[in-house]
Amino acid sequence: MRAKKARIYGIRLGGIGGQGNVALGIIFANAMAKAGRWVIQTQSHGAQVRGGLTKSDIIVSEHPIDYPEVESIDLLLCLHQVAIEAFAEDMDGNAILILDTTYVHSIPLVVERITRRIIKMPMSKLSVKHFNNEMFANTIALGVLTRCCKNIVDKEYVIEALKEHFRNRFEEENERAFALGYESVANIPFSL
Amino acid sequence: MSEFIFMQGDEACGMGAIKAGCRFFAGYPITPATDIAEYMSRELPKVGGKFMQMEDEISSISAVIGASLAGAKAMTATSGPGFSLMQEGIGYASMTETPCVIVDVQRGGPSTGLPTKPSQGDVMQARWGTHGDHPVIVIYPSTVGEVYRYIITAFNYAERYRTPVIFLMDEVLGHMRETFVLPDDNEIYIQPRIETKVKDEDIYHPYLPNEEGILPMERFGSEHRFHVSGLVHDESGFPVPSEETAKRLLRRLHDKIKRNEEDIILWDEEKCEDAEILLIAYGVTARSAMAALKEARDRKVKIGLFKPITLWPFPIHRLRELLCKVNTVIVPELNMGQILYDVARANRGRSEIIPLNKVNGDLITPEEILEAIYLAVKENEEL
Repeated sequence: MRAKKARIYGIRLGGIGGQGNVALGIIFANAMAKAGRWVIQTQSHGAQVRGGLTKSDIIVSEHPIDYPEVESIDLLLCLHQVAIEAFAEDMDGNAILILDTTYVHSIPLVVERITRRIIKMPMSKLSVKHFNNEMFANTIALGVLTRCCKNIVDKEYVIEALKEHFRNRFEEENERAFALGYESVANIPFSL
Repeated sequence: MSEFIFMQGDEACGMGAIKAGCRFFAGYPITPATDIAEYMSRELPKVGGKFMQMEDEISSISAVIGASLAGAKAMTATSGPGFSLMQEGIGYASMTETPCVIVDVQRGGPSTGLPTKPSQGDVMQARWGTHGDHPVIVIYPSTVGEVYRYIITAFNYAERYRTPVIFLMDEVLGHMRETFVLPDDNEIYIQPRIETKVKDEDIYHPYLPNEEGILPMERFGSEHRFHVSGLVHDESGFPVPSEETAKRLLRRLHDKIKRNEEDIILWDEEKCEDAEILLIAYGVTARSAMAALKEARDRKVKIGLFKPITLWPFPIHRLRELLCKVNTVIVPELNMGQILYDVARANRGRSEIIPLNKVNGDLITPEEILEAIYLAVKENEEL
C-alpha cells in the first residue's frame, strides 16, 4: 500500500515543435481536472515555432499544488530523439518511459540504471498506416498515457477533453487513434 | 454551486476582468501578456464591450483613460517593456483620478530581457515608475485562482478610489494552466461605477469629494461639461497653479488611499503564531516558500510565511507586529532585492534579514529556500 501522504505526480511530454506535445499536455491535464484532480500544466519551447525541443509538464495531486514546476518525473513521453536525450536523466527511479520509436532511435545508456518500465511504440508510423497522416500520433500517445495513468484519470474524461479541444473535428479518427494507443497497452503490468 | 475549472492564468485574468465589469480593453501584444489581449478580443464583443489593438503601449494606456472617463470600466495588459512606455499615462490617470487597471505580466529584464522567463523585476517600477509624488495600489496574485479573484478586487479599488491599479503577475502564472474553484456570484462583490447625482441644470465638479470622500463621476461627453487636466487643478478640473490648490490636491490624492488602507491592504499568513523564522514572499515565489514551509514544519522548524497580496501600500503595520516576534526573516525574490527595502523599514533593525535572490530566469526552488531556512536554524542555535 502506498503511504497516505498526498502524492504529487510529475509527467513530462517531450518532443520537437510541431509534434503536438503541448496540445497533448493541455488535453491530458484538462481531463485530470475533469476527474477532480488538482493540476498544473506548463510548457516551454525554443524560439522557433517548429523543430526545436519542446516540453509540456503536468503536475497532478489530490490537493492544491504549491510549487508549480515538476520536481520529479514519474512518467516521461518522448516523441523525438532530442527529447529522450534532454530528459532521460531527469527521470525518477522506476519512472514510466513511453517512446515513439519512429523518431527515437536509440535509448541513452543512463535509462538502464533508472527504469525498466519502458513502452516502445512506433506511433507516427502507426498513424500513417491507419490514417494516412502523422497527425494522429499524439492521439495514439494520449491513449497510451491514459492507460498508464488509469488510477488518476478515467479514459472517459480524456475522450471528453479530446473532443472539447478539437471541437468535435476529426472525432472519429481521434477516437480510433485513442483506442489504438489505449488497447495496445491494455495489459501492461504497471501504471502510476 | 462552485465550479472546479482548469484555465490559463492570462485567461483567468481576462475572465475575471469581464466579470468585474470591464468593457474596454486597449493593448499592444507582448509576451507573456498577449494571451490576455487574445482572450479580451474574443470575449469582450460577446458582452457588448470593445477591444482595440493600438499601435503601441502609450496609445493603449491613453485609450484606456479615455474610455474610462467616457464611462467604461477599462483595462490594458502588457509586460516590462510596454509597462515602461505606459508610465506617463499611469501618472496622468493618477493625477486625473481616472479608474483603470494596468496588468503587467512581468518577464526578465531590463529592456527586452528574457521574454518567456519569469522575473519579479518590476516591483519598484510599479510603485515609483511614473514621476511625481503619487499614491498607487499594486496587487500581486500567486495562483490562477487568485488571478481571477483579485483582478476583480483591482477593478473594485480602481472604481472606489478613482485611481489606476497595477496588477502584477509572473510570467509563469500568466502562461501556466491550473485548476481552481470558481467562486459563486454571491461570493463576489462588484463595485459599480459611482456616478454623480448632480442634476443636469446644476454645476458638476469632477473633483469635489462627497461626504464619504468619494468623487462621483460623470460620463465625459454627456450632460455636464467638465475639464480633465494633468496640471494642478481645483474641484472644477481647471488648472489653478496656486500653492494652496497644489497642497490640497496632493494631500487628497494621498489621503484617499491612506485613509482606506484597512480596506485596500490584503495579505495571507501561514503558521505565523509561533514562528521564530519568517518567510516573506509574494507572487509565484510565495508558492516555493509555502512548499519549503511545509517541509520545514515537518522537521519541527518553527517557521511562518507572510504573503503580501497588496504590495503597495505595503502592509507595514501587520508585518511590524510579526517582525517583533521572530529572530530571522528570509526574503526570497526573483530580483536583486526590491521588497527587501520595505521589509527593512518595517523591521527597524530588530531581526536579521536574509535576502534570497535569483535573476537567471528560473524560479526559486523550495530546496533553495529550505537551505536558507536550515542555515538560519543553525545560526540561531549557535547564538
